[in-house]
Amino acid sequence: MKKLTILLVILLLAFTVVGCTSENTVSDKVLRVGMELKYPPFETIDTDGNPEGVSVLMAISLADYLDMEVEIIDTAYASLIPALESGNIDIIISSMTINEKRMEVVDFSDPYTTSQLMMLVHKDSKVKSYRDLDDSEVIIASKTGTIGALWAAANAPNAVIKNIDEEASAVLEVAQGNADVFIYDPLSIVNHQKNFPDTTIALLEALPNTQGWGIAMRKGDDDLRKDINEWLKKAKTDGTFDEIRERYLKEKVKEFEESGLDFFF
Amino acid sequence: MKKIFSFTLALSFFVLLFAFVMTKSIKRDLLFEDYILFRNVILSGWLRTILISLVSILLSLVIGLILYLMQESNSQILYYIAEIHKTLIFSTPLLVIAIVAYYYIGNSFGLKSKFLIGALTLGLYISAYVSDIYKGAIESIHINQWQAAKMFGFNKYQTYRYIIFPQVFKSILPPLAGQFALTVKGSSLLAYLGTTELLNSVNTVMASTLKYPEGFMVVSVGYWIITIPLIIVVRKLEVKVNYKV
Repeated sequence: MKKLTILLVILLLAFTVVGCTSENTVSDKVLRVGMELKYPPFETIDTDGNPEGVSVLMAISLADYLDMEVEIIDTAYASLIPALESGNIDIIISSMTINEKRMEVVDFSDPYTTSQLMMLVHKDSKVKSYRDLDDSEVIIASKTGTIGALWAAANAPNAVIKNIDEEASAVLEVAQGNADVFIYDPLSIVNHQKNFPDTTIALLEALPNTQGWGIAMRKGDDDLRKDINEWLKKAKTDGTFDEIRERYLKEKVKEFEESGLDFFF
Repeated sequence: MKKIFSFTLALSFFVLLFAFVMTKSIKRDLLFEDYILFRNVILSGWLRTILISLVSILLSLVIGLILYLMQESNSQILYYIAEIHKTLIFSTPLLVIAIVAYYYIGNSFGLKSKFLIGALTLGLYISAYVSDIYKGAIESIHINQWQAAKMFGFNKYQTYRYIIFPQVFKSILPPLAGQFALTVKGSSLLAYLGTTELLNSVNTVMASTLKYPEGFMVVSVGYWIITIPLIIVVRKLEVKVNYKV
């Protein structure tokens, strides 16, 4: 009994000591990049399961610029910021929109896109424009933790907001008439509308008050932010971004042109 | 013969229901080409699910036994450690435990492997239930047997080794096999950590191909291949054990 008590006390002390000494810093050699591999063509996998897409190429090019190895860590979107805070990853490149709420807990690089948010609307809904959203009878579906959810909370406080973990479920809510609108990026909205042509309409009108996508890092990683911003400037002019656009976004650029939208990357 | 007929009839009821839902909710042909294209991803996710489940069930057998012994020991501290562990597990959703375990607990111990933390979390989670299975089985042995063993001069170890465990072993098999089926399904929650098990692999393919209904079918069949045989085994074992008692 006594021995056991002593053992427990020692264990408790050990936890405390370890707790005081551990620290989260960007390790010297490996840049761990968190992204959710469920958003083609930005973050996805090839048929063998290797990470692929715009953000992956960006991560590789950035790591190259920083003279580091790169490791892509597949992380659920809602867990990206917790993972960054706890040090499981060093930066987030996951089509993440710069937003004030997020900036309370992470720092962002300069934006690398001009972002847009649009709406997938059920055909019988009375919502015809974003101006109709702030209404207690309107049900907005959004994917948990995404900018659509944050936008709805900030800009349509009177509406009923359903936060759903899976994108597919959120789309079904709208397609089956359980929600009026799903707020997401235009790329996905156009694709989802094609899946439910009879029951949904894509409202291709950009929602106001949104910023572009940025690379997120832990608060206070100012050196890293400076490096990343310099790399962004370089990548936009030295052909890196052109190459990425050519490789992954050709079709999308065309789709956008057909829908009369400006491309954002 | 009658049995087969009844089974076919019952099954066709479900097939009809499925067909009804399909025609009502999905107004296009099913396209599985993308899933054939991504077969390696899905297969490795499926194998990963089996591996995680196996490792965690084995862990839970050991930890469950330790928990049981802690609760039977003379030390109150050990008793309460086991008791608090079990209460925490019975009262918290597995999803919450898994996310906290990975992003906070695992992180503070310097553990980064999703596989390791996933298996460990599931193992610890199931162990609380397994320890109760042990407890129920051991307590179901009549007190006369304990007294008889004592009369013959068996010590505690000998009583467990020669009298209790051989009987307990048979009666815990069905609930353990059932628990294993639960573990397989529970492992799907590790998808939320981005573990590349079956659900997450299929989710990723769904996101990249937008063939959602097909994906849900693929993932269900993937789990059925593992869990349905287990459920059948449980039924068989239950019948067998009941005859013996």
